[in-house]
Amino acid sequence: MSFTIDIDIGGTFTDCVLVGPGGIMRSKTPTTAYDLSVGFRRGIEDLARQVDLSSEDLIEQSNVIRYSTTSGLNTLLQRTGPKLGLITTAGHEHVLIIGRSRQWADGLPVQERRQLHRAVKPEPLIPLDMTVGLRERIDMNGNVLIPIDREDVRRKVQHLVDQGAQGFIVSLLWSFRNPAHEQLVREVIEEEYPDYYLGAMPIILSSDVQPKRHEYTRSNVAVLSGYLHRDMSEQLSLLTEQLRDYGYRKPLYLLNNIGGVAKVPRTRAIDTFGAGPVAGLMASAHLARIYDLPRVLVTDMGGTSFDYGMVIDGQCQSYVDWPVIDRWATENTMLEVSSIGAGGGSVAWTNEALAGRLEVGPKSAGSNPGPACYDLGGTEPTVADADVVLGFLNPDNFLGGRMPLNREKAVQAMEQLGKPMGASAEEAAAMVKEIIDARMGNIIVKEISLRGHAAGDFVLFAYGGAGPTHCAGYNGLLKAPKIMTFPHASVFCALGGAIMDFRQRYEASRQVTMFDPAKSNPYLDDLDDFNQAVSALQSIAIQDVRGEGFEPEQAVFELEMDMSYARQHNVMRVRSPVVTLESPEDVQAVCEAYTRAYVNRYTDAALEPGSPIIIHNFYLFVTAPLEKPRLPTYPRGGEDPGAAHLGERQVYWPDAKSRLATGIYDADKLTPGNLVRGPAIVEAPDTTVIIPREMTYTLDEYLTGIMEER
Amino acid sequence: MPVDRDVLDQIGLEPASQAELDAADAISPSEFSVYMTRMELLCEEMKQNLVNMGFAPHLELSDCIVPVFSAKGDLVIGSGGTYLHAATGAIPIKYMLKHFTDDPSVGINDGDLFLCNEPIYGGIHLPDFITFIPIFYEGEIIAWGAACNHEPEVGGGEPGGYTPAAKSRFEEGLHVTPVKIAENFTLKNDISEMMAFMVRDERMFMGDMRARMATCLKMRERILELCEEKGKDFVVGLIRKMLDTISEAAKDRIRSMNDGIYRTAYFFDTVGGIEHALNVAHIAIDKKGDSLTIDMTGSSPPTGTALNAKPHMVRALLAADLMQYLFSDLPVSAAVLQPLKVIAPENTWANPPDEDAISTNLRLLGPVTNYMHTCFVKMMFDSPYRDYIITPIGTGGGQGHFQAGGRDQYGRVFGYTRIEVSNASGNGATVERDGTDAAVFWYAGFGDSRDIEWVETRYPYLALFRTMMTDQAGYGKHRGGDGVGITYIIHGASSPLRIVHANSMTQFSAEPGIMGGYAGGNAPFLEIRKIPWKELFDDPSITLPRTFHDMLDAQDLIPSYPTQISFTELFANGDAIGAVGHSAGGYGDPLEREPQAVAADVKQEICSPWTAQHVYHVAFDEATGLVDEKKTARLRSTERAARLKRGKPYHEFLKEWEQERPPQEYMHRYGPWPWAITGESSTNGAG
Repeated sequence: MSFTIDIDIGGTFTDCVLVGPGGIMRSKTPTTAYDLSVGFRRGIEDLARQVDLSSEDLIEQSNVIRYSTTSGLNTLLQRTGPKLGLITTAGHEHVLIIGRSRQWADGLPVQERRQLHRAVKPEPLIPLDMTVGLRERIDMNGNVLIPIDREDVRRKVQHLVDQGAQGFIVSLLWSFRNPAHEQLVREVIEEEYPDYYLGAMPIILSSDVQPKRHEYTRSNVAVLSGYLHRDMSEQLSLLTEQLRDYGYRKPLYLLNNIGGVAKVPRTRAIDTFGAGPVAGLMASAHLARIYDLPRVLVTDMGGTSFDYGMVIDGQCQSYVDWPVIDRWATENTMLEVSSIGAGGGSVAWTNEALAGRLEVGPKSAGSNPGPACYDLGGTEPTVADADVVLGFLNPDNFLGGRMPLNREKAVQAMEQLGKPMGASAEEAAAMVKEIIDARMGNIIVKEISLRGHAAGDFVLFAYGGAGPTHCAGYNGLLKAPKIMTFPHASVFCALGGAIMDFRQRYEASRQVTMFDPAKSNPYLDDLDDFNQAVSALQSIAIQDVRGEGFEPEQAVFELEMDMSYARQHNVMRVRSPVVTLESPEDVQAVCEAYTRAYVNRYTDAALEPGSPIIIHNFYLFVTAPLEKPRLPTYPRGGEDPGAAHLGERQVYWPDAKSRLATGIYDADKLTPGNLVRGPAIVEAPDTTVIIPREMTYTLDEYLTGIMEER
Repeated sequence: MPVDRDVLDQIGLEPASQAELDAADAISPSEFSVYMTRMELLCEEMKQNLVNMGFAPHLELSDCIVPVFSAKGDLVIGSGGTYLHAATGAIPIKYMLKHFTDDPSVGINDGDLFLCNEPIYGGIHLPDFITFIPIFYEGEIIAWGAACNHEPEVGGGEPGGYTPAAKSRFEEGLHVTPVKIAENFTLKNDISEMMAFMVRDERMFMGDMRARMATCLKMRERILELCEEKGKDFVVGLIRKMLDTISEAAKDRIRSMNDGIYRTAYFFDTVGGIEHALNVAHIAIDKKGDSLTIDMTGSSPPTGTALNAKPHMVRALLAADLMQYLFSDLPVSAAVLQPLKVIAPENTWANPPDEDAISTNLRLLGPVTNYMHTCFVKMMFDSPYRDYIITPIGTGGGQGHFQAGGRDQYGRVFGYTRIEVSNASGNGATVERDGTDAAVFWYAGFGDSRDIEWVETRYPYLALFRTMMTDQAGYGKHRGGDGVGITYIIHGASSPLRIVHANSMTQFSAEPGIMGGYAGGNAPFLEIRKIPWKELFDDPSITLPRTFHDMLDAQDLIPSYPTQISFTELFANGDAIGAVGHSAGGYGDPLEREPQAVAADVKQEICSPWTAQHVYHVAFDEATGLVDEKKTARLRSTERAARLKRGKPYHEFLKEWEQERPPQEYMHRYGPWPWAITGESSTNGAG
């Protein structure tokens, strides 16, 4: 037998997914923040029990173990990273403090970004007294204007060491254009503190970790890499050791935020940020390919947040525009899974500053005390309370009956909310549902539209404890023709790892003019600039591919570029139709890809036919295949869901403004082929699916639920 | 000239029709919440589109806004951004509706788009361009969409959008009164080409023109989708309900503060460099119930230069300030302008003849806004909004804000306003904490600054340094946020650059302190010429300047060192310029500042050891930074006693003050000393 194991260590739970001949097994254990390996071991033991093996035997029979973690974020939040020294260009020592001035708003919720009277910048991870400026300068073309002075470097490094530096971040102006000065700094430090001494310290060059323009974001990437390195590598060493003790001899893979995995030594700490949600997105991409869906909108509504992302043509291609890690802006390439504060715990309130306008969220009651219906002391009205009052959630069968809810408390909270408006508990609950559903729908419509798409062209995937409960509601604005819900939704992120390939990204800033209407032949005729930029990245990629144990022929390359019209400030990420340029037609094809993407986003009124088209940054992705599990299928039966019918209950449907007799079904007893007609509710151990009057819900051979209009 | 005073003065909302009120009544509380949010998100989405498409650096740095107006031209809702535009955008739309709806030579039809940048038709200054589109549904206008941004080159006598030497508006550049620029959703090439031909940077001008237009078209599309989904009446009702709700919310907030007259005065000098004179801006804010009247009576006459403004500009600046602070949790809407009225007598700098130049008015309006802000601080102190109090923020007052033009390192003609310095000004201190350093762009709260590599890629500069200023942040119990100092060496330019510095007010701080805090500091604009940079760079024994203060102290190192207020000068490669983004005023008595916080500021070079000892009266070890708490307590107690000793009765102070009267040659714009308004008692307490 052979298995794959995927582990997702989140802030609250550690999810483990085992895929093997017997299908998919899952385990959810509390994350043990004091020692992550404890939670990890418990998860493995739980999985082993499910397949009647010892932990050792399970591990030994596993081909691949993949891992994602949020521990890096904890290091940042708790500020437990090492004391680092920043070495920068003299006269620019305040780079982390000045930043982009409004960086006080980076990483804050939208509603707080307008409040200038509350603006506070976070304390830099490296304070000013641990920063030194070197007498050196390189200009935008890479020319050395002020030569670096070894003695100056020695003196400044010594100063940092005297201050207690445990590592060095080197980020000099224009180092991505000419890294010679940064490399010399490393050389000097290595001379002074050779690695056979106990005092050897990590040295991170910005030109190594992010060879891209913009010193603030490049410095942040270098600082974050250094700051996270120690904690993460210690944690990974412990886990690897534990796996070795179990007898595991194969590599441990880490999930990254570009939708792939790589061995631990080939993964940068900051690339693990957001890898969990990205894995969920990748799992969706896998499903989109299985179902042959060209456009999928992935949504995940939990207790406190609502995440969403897009899959186009089976690929995840939408990146975060301005990725912020904790409070630090980067220009790191990260697949986009956006998040807003909307979930079952979102609190409903009246905005007295705005004539009592009814609002829902972003404040959340959290899980403790949680919604009033949890009966843990919470009294504020929440979305979950509204769902209970309306009858969507069954107080006696919430989470498979593991958590009884107090309907009376929910009614009281809603009555309180409705009183100033003269609304009954049910009417208030209906408004809460309408507002929260619209909030999620409106946000998605905006984000999709910004990327040049229309929400109605997508199929909607709904995950999370509250996703299937509210998906029909937020789809009211999206107007997706089909909604799909999936089994294993609660461990979807961990499952996502199971279908990932080895994938890495390589990037470089290099300006190439692809089209210049002022020239007699407006298209780029010397293809070398472009091809050299790509081949430089390719040669590093091939080394990595070999290092991961693949043959170079197994590697698949994809190229993306940041492009703009000349002198335009913002760039747009474009997928290149070719990896290298072989002919004038290839050049035209790249320009056309840009123009097409531009029109999609901004309409043809924005086209700049008289403007040159420029490439600013190259991104080369390499992928090599890893073994993937087949999703289990189940035999198809008849349409009649009678065997799963639990009875009927009166549910208040906001669109009907009345209570209707609603069929209740047991998700575990529904079989492929069953067709449930709305109004109906399907109760599963980890979620509740709401099927409105005008919709049907059918199960296919994967036990995927498909909701469509009748 | 056909300036319509009625339109300019119309700040209240247009009266609602019965049909609008009925439609508003039909909207349920949840619908109101859902669809108002949708309108807010719509504006945010369109602003993001505008920023993404833009060419002007100001657009990337978010000096823009995208609003929706009602059919009658009232601003319903806007994105976060430059609230100034929100406060002024209604005027050209209302002008268009009033004058051209029935004019057969113009008309307003589906598919038309309009443009305006004329300050005396409602704007602030020529660089502010607004493109607007009527949104027709079922044959009638149901709303207007608009896209507004600062365009950093408008032709005229100097590059970069401002002409400090202008004596009349005719010298300031491209003036576009409300004009149709597109029909059938298509840009009119003849008129756009004519305008682009009048500015130095045609590429940027046309790129932004298309960006605004595409934004308006997308906005229209989305509003029409809403009409299709919910019906025309719903949209009309939603707009009315939003206006009325936000208006009431703003009035409620004003009502909750104490009635009274809140006075202050701002003094300014060096008017345009043509003559040296002391000028004054008198500000008396009369707050009664839910109304606010800003009376500028007694202010100095028109300056004869580009340093003038108009009443609607004063109103817009104050509105922007309120939207940024007191109303920061209310939606961006003209409804919050409702309570504001401005009295600016004719023939003052705040209401000069229409032909007078105004192009550097922000140099004056920035500080004036800060002084109006201090009146609000007094108003807010005893109100439910005390935690919204913030000291006046770094406006730049002109120092950081220079303009340049010429041929860049790629040989292209450019003209622009330097903003990455002033965009990193200090934020104000609050009742509870220090102001944030290098944090804000004073009139565009969503404005960013950018990396040095961003600047050097786009413009022919080499930044010798960009560091925080020392002793500029207004001292106080909570100090003001600090600004940045920068020096650029001209590097790689294909032609000498014309650099314009519209500095005007170096003698008076633009950022007053409050509750005993000190004002933010001033700093000169530096011209640094004929420096043998290569020799300095190549000699490792020379320590290069790395702060603005180093530059000021480096005269032994740098032989030629004029520090002067200048107008246009030609700068060659190797010449350098130094500028400062301003710091905010302090809050409270510096003697109440935590001694450890003073020591930390010294460590960060925000405060000098001298200031720590002589202003904050803190005893600490310069080498270790350790504070001697006991000695500090003694020093402070001694200083408090000394203060009491220095105190004197008011009449004695006045007698002394009389001796401080400036020479008569500088007083001809000021009025009677000490009080500028004849016949009024100086005990009214100007200043």
